[in-house]
Amino acid sequence: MNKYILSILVIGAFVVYSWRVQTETKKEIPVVTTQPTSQIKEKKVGLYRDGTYESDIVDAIYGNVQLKVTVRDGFITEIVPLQYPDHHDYSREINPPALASLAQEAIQSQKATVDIYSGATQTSKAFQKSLQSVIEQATL
Amino acid sequence: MKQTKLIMGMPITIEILDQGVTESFFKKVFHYFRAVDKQFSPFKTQSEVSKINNNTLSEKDYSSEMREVLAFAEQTRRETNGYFSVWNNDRFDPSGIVKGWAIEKAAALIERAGFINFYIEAGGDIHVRGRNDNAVDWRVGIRNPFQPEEVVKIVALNNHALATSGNYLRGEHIYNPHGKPLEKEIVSISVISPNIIDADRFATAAFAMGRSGIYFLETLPEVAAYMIDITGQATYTSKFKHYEIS
Repeated sequence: MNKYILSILVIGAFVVYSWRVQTETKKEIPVVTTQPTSQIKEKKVGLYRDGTYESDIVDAIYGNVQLKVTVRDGFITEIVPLQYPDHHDYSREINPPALASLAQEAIQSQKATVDIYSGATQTSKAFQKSLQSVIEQATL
Repeated sequence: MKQTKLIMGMPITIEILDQGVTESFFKKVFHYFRAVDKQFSPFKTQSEVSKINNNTLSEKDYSSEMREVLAFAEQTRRETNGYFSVWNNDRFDPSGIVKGWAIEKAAALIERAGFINFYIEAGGDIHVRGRNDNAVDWRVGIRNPFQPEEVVKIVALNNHALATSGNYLRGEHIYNPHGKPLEKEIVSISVISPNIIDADRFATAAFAMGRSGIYFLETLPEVAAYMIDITGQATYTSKFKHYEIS
């Protein structure tokens, strides 16, 4: 008789134990806590499709603007002018620094809306339009 | 005061820090969740959802709650280009909306009672209000989907919600409504939004979108997200760093 009681107790204890284990391992996600306990690799989401793009050719009155744009890991990483107004001394003087500065600004903002570069208004406007044409191609 | 109850097949935790909260008030809030379960559970034969599936309830007899849930479902279907659906193989299952919706309603119940510092957490979703017991924004962890006992990220939330979608949590309950098999590359997507309904429905839809889900989330105003892929690489949206603590 004692054997029966003992086995019932053993089985009962096991049932209670397994039920407890089951409820305790149920994960609550997320969790209100203060410290991470591990790290993972992470990156910001890219905005654009990777590749090298040639922009539309845009009329800048004193010549045309066309850009070559590189997108890597979803971000614009390089903007190189393929052509820009360079028929006059003034154009050759003002446009290269203006374009470099516009490219830097656009890479920072990842957008086509850039400030108008004083003295290179037409080039700035054409830069915007031509970069916009790339953004339209590259948007995911 | 903090309590956890198992309702709708998941642990629901409520913590209210303000003075004057009582045991009976907690009962009232948990009772609300049980009532939602009774009405919306696809597993209870007498629920309104089951009656719709069995064609024993005509559309004109739908409750106002059901109409509200259906309106959210339809809005989400449109906003997500069809990636969110409450229909799966001709079975009606609005669970993807109901959880967030129920948490939102329960939070409103708590706020109406005059409490301002609290959170409700239910199976992967959390809705916080006010501040924690250190008088700063609530600290909420995002778990490592590969090692659920590990926390990989902490975000600070005050009047925001965080919802996580991932098939690792409770089996494969998310599917691609366009009939294609779900991409396996994404393991979890956590979404922060000012309200839990948006966080929940956008997390579910973005998860169904696979790789492109994170781009969809990037385009949403007022939404931040943290996605973890099968290689263990996380990708976050522009607004995520605003909430990140560590």
